[in-house]
Amino acid sequence: MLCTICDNITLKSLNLSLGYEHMPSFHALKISADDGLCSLCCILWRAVDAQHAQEEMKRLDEGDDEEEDDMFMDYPVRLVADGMIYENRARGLKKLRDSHYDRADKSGGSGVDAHALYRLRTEKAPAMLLVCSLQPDTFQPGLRLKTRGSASLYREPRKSKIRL
Amino acid sequence: MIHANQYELTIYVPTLGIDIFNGDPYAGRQISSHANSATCFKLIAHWIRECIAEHKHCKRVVCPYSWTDDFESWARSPSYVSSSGSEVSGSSPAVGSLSTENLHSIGPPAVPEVDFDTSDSDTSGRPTKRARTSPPSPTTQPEDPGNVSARFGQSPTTKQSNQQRLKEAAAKQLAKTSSLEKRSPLSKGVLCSTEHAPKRGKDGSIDDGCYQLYPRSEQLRDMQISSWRYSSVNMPAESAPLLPTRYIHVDSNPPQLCLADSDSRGYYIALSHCWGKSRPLVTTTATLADHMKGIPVKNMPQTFRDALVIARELGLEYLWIDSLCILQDSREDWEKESARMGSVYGNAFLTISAGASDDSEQGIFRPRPVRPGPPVEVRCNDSDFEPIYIDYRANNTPFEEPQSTDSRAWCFQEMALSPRVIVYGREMLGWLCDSTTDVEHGSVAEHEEDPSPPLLAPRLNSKPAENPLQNAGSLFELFHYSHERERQVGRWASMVNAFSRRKLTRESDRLPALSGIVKELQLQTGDEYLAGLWRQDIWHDLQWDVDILFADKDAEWRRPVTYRAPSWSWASIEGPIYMDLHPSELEKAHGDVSPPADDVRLLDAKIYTVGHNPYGELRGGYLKLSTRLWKAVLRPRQNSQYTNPKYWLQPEKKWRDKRRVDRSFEVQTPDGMRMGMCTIDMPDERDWDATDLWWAKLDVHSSGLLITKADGEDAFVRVGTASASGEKPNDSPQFPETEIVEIILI
Repeated sequence: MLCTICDNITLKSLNLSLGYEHMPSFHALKISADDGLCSLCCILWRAVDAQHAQEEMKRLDEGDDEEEDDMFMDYPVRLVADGMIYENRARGLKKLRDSHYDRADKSGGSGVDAHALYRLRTEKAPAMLLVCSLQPDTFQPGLRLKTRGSASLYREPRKSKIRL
Repeated sequence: MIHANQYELTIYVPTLGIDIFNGDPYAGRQISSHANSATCFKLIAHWIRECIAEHKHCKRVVCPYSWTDDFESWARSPSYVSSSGSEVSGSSPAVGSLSTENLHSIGPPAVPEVDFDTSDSDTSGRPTKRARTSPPSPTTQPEDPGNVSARFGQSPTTKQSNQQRLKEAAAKQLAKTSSLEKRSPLSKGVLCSTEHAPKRGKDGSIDDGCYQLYPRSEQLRDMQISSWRYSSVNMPAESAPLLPTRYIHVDSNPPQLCLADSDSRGYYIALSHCWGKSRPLVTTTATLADHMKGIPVKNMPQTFRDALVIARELGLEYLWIDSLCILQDSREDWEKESARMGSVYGNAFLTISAGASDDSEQGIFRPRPVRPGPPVEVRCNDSDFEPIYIDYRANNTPFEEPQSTDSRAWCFQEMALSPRVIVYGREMLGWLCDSTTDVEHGSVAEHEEDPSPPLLAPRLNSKPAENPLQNAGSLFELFHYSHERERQVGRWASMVNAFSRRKLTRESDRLPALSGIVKELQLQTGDEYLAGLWRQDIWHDLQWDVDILFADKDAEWRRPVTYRAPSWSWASIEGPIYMDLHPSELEKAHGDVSPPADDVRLLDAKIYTVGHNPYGELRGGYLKLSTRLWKAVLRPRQNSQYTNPKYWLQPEKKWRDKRRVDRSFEVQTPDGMRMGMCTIDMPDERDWDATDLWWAKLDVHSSGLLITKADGEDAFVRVGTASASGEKPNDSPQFPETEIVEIILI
């Protein structure tokens, strides 16, 4: 069962640069997930929570033991499809190839985001659904997207060539 | 809401029908895992079928060790000197003189011809269980130093004759092993066309843990409820591989440890697992006779029992487990068999990796954590009512989540060499072969960009990329190499980088644990192996560094307690190592990965092994170089971001920068002229102000090694690497003129 907000998701809005306006805050998402009435909200909150826990652990691991505020909980939730093949796989491939970037680390690289290519090449590979917020950036003027979690997004049930 | 008890299935599995095995592994087992469900076995059968039928590359690498399985047929390094002191060869030939033909027939002339008489096999196709009448003895006969062809190959006539005989014998053996008449019902597994179903449930119902399996596809669900008729799998048309010296015959009652004849062939499963702190059931000289009569299943740890179940379910009758098939109290046997381990795993039809088990008591079929709910179907109004699916994205496949076996050094070559691997991960099954990877839920989730070398073993014989897109994204083909030589160097570098991070119980096993891979690489390239480095790439390989960039926060480096390798070898240090994965553009233009300068030459190289394994433990070794030396002194780095207090304020960089500051110095001549930067291997080892240091040139860029005099010897030892650089990025430092000298590095 889906809540009204999740039920109104459209492919077009997911592919907008600022994504689909999902919930007014992460608090609201959490409450919806805790109620257990919307299965998508449950998945999205689990993704956010897991990502947050992972970041916390990494931060502590790197020696930063100051408590981080949970300010992000007040920001609105947006859903953005990342790498989704929107009915034009060839166009997606071209776009990716045009946007080569170099990995400047010592190990070098092919200059192409190999894993993004892999996603586009394989039928069964999913795109990513980013659960984002729009946050003021202290260092740069304006707003920017801040990822808070991610879930898998795909157009068809995963296929395989299993023969019975 | 999802409650854990909705997904917790506990099934009591009694032994149904005739109890044909004493202490059957199924009997009385509380199964709370679904990794042993029939559907999973079907999935494994599907993967195997795909691999055999469709993967042309995998077919090519089936049975790569047919001709070099004997212990004495190691491809001898020209520099290899056995512990007995008899030198196998005298001079070092130019590597380029090894022709491709020689590489296929590498082996000393003393290799005994294989006798392919199969008359000793019984009618069931099962090889008779008798010991080798003439165990191979280590070859240490001296050879004519100048005769390269005599050293590296059999004559073409002998080779052709042997190949013909091999084919005939293999055809006979295959015909016999294909026969299933004498095999027990349980051994007719999913690889055979049979109505056999695993016995499950008191009332005969078969539980597959439908709700716990990942929804790979609708077809997988169909598979779960379909009848138990398996499609047969045609075993590879190539000859069955040679069996290991000892193997476990699964169909015996109880399972028996058997000794293989030198020509026994068959398809077998190998187990790759963590021993853990508790020592599992082992075979010793005292228990060998008992184990050959039969190994009671009740005495086996859970991992071994589960391996028996898998072998029986898949219908393969031979199993190889290191602790049971190698005599653990015989130094000689251990050395001999551990040297063969590469061929054991390379020839295995399938390798089971008990990835989720920390020790042998935990078993392969571990209970899985409760997975999140199924994907949510969202019907978008603007997509013609075609739904999209949104699923919780977890990096929980065996190739993303660290497994217990990923940190063990011995498991490295077991994964790298096995043609097919089933990984029993913490949450799902994974499949790995030279052509593809797959996981239970049918989708390799997105892999995070990570510049650090993978902890997983890169595939040794992975399908090479024909274009940059072909293998892009494969977890085991990190980069696309356009040049074959570049690929070789990158492959070895990535292996060293990943291998050096893995842990060992015994420090001295560092080189032996890699010997199987080295043996295979030497067969492929014909190059000479020098204590973890390759002669052809010596200028590149010598410039390894302690990995201060990508190693974990807790990583430590230290010298082994006892001597392990010469100072110029990465094996002389215990801890993560970084070897450059890519040669520079300039070097590619030369057509070689790291062209030495005209004034730098490798005059001689020797390594001295402890035992007979030329890639095993070392007791010494040296390199004789002709190069230029500059006296050098170390100064703290100036004007660097790493010494800038502002930079230090960033907590996430602190520990990493401390490593750099400890190890990284500016190198100057005694007159104060800047030469470049250096990285010291072990900074606490010496007082650097009181140590005489020299910069030894290695390549055209004047990069080199930082060396010092060895204590009490007229030779040098490596203490670090140095790279020429000016004060500004594009400045090239001017080195003072010096004469070319000959030095010995130990």
